[in-house]
Amino acid sequence: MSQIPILIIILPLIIVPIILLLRNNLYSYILSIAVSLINLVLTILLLQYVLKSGNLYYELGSWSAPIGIRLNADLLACYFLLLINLMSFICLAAGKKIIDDTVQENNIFLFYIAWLLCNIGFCGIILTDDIFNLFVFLEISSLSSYFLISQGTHKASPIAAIQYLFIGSIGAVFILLAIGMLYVNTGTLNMTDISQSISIGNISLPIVLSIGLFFVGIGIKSALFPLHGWLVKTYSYAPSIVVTYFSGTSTKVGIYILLRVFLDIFHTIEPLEYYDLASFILFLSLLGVFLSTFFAIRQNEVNKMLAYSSIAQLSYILIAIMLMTPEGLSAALIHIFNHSIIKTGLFLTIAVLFVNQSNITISDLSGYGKNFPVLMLSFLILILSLIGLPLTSGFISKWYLVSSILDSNVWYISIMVLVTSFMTVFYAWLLIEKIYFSDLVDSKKYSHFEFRYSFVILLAIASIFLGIDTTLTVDLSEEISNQFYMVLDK
Amino acid sequence: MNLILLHLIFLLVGMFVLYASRNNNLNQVFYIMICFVSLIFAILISNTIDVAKPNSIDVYNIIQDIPISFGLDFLGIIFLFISNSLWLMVSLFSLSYLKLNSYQEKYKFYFFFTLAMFSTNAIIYSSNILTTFIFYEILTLSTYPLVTFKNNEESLKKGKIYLYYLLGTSIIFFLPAMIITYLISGTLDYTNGGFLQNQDHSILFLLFILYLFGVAKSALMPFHKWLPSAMVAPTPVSALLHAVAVVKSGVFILMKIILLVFGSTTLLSTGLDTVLITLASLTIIISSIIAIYQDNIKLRLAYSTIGQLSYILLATAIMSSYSILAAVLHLIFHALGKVMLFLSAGIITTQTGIKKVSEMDNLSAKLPYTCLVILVGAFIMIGLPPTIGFISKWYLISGIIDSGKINILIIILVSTLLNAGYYFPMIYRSYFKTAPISNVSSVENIGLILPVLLIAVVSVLLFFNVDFIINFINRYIF
Repeated sequence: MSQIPILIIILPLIIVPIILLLRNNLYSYILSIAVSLINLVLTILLLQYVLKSGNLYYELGSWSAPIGIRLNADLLACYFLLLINLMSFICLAAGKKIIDDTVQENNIFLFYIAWLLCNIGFCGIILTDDIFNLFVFLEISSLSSYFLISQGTHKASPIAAIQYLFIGSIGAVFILLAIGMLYVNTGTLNMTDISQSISIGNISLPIVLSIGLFFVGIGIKSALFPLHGWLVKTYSYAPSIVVTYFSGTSTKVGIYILLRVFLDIFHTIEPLEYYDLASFILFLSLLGVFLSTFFAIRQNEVNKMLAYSSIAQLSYILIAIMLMTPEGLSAALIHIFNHSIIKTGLFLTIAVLFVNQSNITISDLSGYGKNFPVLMLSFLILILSLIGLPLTSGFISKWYLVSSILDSNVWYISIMVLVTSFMTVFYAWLLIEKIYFSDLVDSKKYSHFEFRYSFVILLAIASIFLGIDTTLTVDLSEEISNQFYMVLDK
Repeated sequence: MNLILLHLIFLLVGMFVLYASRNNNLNQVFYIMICFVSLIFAILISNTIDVAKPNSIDVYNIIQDIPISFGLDFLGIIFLFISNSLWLMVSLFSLSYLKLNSYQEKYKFYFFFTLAMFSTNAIIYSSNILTTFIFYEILTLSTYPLVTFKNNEESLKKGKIYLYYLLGTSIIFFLPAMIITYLISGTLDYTNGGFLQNQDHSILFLLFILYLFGVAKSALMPFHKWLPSAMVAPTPVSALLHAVAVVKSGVFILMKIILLVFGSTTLLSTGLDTVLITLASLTIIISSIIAIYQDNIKLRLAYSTIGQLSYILLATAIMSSYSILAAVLHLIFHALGKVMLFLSAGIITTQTGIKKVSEMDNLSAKLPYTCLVILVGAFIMIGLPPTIGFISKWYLISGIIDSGKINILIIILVSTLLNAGYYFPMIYRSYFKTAPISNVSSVENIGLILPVLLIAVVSVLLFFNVDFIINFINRYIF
């Protein structure tokens, strides 16, 4: 049991060179999906263990904490691990044909390697207790994601990858500098150690700089409003299955780093409140919600529309976190999970239908309701969930989001949140109208059922399930946020 | 097994059957059977469940401590009975209507109609605000495909207005109202006498406004625009859903919120009743004035509906025992009258192609029974004896005098004149204005006219035998 945290990182790392040696597309697929499934199972076991007996620390080579490297599996980490590994498994399981059709024959095994490395990076970021390792894992995931993005069929895919490389590198440099500043000041890289050695009394210039640098770096990674440009580009030009995978994971990992850094490492000095960062982010996020919803309505391409919608939803999550209340944090965590399911489902629908085409416009979906009844019903359910109608997971998110805002001292921003959440209907309904109330443009489109469709249906069912049974999302989120704020109160 | 749950499950199974038999000729037979069994359920439930005792059952907790739960109260019984019996009548009507107008994909119509009635019944049974909200939203979504049933550009455009108004108000007003209610009181269960006593006045004021605008299905101005837009739907939809099920659900929810969430004493002591009285009065007058200028029969009826719904709300807001009685009575009587009028309009359009009031000249020569039904319906709307509309207006006026708010009488007087102003032209033109009779067959289709006549006969008989309803309601008021 106690070995699980390291297994989650090591197992895929062992598979990667094997794939490289085999150089066989089919074997590499089988190995990748097998290891993702094992990772998912391990994550669930880890979650159960942590729920029962509290945080699990794993010391590499039995070197104890401040000197040796340590992994820290707490409830927050398990929650995010579950999300990441679930999405990775679903995308790989649904994506065989899509990957085969999109990626060049010779690159397919490299694609799987990059995929696994990216997932290792995400898992590492989440599990590590060492801030420099966090940076290393961040780089592993970023570098492999540049490769994944560049494999798109659109001619702008490499350009999108390079843009992401530039912006991502800038973000990484900021984070690296921030870590350097911290090290200069505290002389340690262990997160627990750092958080104990800084206190409100001894804030020095490097710490302040470090907070600022972290803020910008994380802002880029989690697509905080004015730093969101890369996300739209990436989501429109990357291979459809990569978009599907990233939509549920990469920005969520950014938010995870934000929680770790500002609510955990710096918790003694509460930088979000101390430097009014919270109200600043709150303001940016509100602006972000408004503008990105507005942009989403004006988009003609489905991927761009969904990308802007993602930015809006991420802004909701940030708003909830920046309320700085336990209710707000748990609302954010609930929405992180629910939104990942919804958005992955929506992008996956586009991916399984249009395989390797890019620049799918709304009118490409005309009349699909007749030809793909079950698939489109799932899509409809996911859209309704995105709008936040009752009996779907979106409603649960919205309930807790609005109720946490109304319960806080900035209750008036609930008006803006409600109005923008209604504006979701404006762009969501453009899709529904095309799908159900237009005639089919290309009547030769095949309509028989394929295996990969079933994962969209699975996600739609999950979205309804999470809208009715909330033990996983709500109970866990409340537990996590209570832990966090108990630490803060101490 | 609880009968209420059984009723709802039956309707869900029925929908499944309707979908499974979509290419089968038996489809419409199944549909009628579903309506019929649903009515039997309604009768059984109203006879077996004792509404004086709390009878709600929790199904499942969606949000912590707030279950989906169903029960029945006396308001529910009345609305349950009226909506299910009219559903059967309208369904019989729609069989012939859909055939004569050669609509395609009828199973969709039956399917979504059943879904809409399922949600209406669920709203009636719901015993907390969350359950109401859930099925309120499902009702909106299930009627959207019916509004856009013609699937042309105009119906899509109107459908969008319909959706934006109803979803928008429910998300922006109703949802936060519900959450605030929960945050300040810790419960959402409908309670006799309300549960919002001892709350801050300004919060109560905000909540009340949020609820009034949030439940836009009651078509209170300024969020009424969706109702005229919904008239683009086939006539049976306008008749049952947009004169009975959907709009009455809105009024029903507001009545429950007024009586069982705020409570009459809280409302009177905080002066919030004046807010509703003002809004309802304005709606009554403005909608009646707009109605006069509508030439399209269905639009005129729609604006009349907006006004009549506000009558019910006005009567509720006055809060004397007579006026509450009037509100409940009018909920029933307006349903009967408006269904007759809408279905008659459907017959006129189907058989002669006439859609405007100005084309109705000498219509009684062609469609004698239809015009007779319109006459009865119009009398109910205006409130003239010997129709049931007179009874509800009688009690409304008694209630107003009882409560001492005499100046509201002016509103009633003016609006009655206005009502007469837009209903009499229809009667006058069809009976007294001569016009060359074209050689269109002068006999109504039996499948269309029979259900309508049945409703008309019942409503006339009801005038002479209304005591049993009044006694029933009186048992529960205050």
